[in-house]
Amino acid sequence: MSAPESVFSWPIAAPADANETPRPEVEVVQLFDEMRDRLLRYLLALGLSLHDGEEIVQESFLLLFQHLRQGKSRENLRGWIFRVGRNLALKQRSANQRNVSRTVEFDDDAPGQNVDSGMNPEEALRSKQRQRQLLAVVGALPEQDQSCLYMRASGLKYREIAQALGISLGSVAASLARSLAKLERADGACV
Amino acid sequence: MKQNHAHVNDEDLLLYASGELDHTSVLVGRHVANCNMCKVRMEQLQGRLAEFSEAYRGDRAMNSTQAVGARETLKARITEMDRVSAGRRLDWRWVAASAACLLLAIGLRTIHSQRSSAELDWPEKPDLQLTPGATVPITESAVCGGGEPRVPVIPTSLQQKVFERYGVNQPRDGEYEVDYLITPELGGATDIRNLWPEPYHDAVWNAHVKDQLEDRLHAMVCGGQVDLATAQRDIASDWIAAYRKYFHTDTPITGGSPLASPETRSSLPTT
Repeated sequence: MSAPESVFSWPIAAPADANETPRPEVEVVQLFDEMRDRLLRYLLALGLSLHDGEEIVQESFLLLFQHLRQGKSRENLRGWIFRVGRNLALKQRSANQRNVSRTVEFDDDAPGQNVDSGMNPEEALRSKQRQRQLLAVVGALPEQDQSCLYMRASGLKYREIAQALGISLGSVAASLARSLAKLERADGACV
Repeated sequence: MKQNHAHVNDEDLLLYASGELDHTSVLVGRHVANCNMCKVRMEQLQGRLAEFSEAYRGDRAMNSTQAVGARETLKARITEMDRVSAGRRLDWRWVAASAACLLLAIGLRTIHSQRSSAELDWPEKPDLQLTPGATVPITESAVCGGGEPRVPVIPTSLQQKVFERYGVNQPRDGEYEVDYLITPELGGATDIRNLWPEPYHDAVWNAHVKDQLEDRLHAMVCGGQVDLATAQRDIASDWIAAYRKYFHTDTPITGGSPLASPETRSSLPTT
């Protein structure tokens, strides 16, 4: 008695006919290549650890694979993947908050802080301070406003953001306008 | 934000600039083309958004090596998911024949689960009141720095205190190892709060199994797959759960990990 063979194996060639719908596994990996960094960065910005973020990215794309294999809608998959990733992240974040009563103290420094190496030290410091200032202002916004801004900064279109957050196009624009106004006011306060 | 109704508001300017404004797009376009204030405002909004986007993307560098690894992991998991569901779809006879085996396995597993459930206490897992874990300040680069990681020898007097705290009197040779909960290879401290008597052989989840987890976590931290704090936290809070999580298995693996490559395994230090 042996287990049945998988119905496909890697590597998988793209369909020869451009009009043919790509196979789910191909489509998922293509979208992963395009969106993995963006989704992971978003999850980290929501406060997840790198490990949790990586896990959720994997989980989101596996769910996408199931979604496509079941023949469900292929419309706006970038928004779909952010929506699933966000839902999983918020769930994970609340689980993490329940488990913080441990007695051990750990160093939780965020990884990957990055400064453009082409700058001189003074410019780099100024740039870093500016970056921190912007991120701090946004970090204090309501989660939905943060998400709108992060997703827009990730290159999502307004309608993709709207689908990811389950809100209207107008609400996305209003949220962004509100957040940009906050950034503007914060700048005014610093001058 | 503009309040003047004679001009286009910020929301519409943002949508117009992105090309996603629908039915009023023509009207807005006409207005903006003839309104210098609106043009300036639109540029301000776009500029601020671009500045934030740059700060956001620059905040965390994405590691391309990790991306490649993650891609391969995803492909493997998709293949596995497909294999499992292909089994469900394609061969009901195989499933039916497996049912008998499954029933037997469930019976065995029930017995086993009494020992391997998450509620297992010492000796498989440390008493977290006595051994919550303790770390030294250390960076990932120091943990992964070149050379063979050094695991400090635990002084006999300290070992004796650990046994006393756990009520172990005169342990036989080879019965227990006083072990670090968080291994020094992951920044664990030689501190009584980080030490516990771990059975060598009698338990399913014994010292040898924990060594596998320590090796795996060290490799994952150094490979950038897990950050150090997460590795420390996971092994300290419940090392058996951590083993299941990182090895994707409910039972200890004998003869090697399904995920670590042979070359990775052979290069890992052991405690």
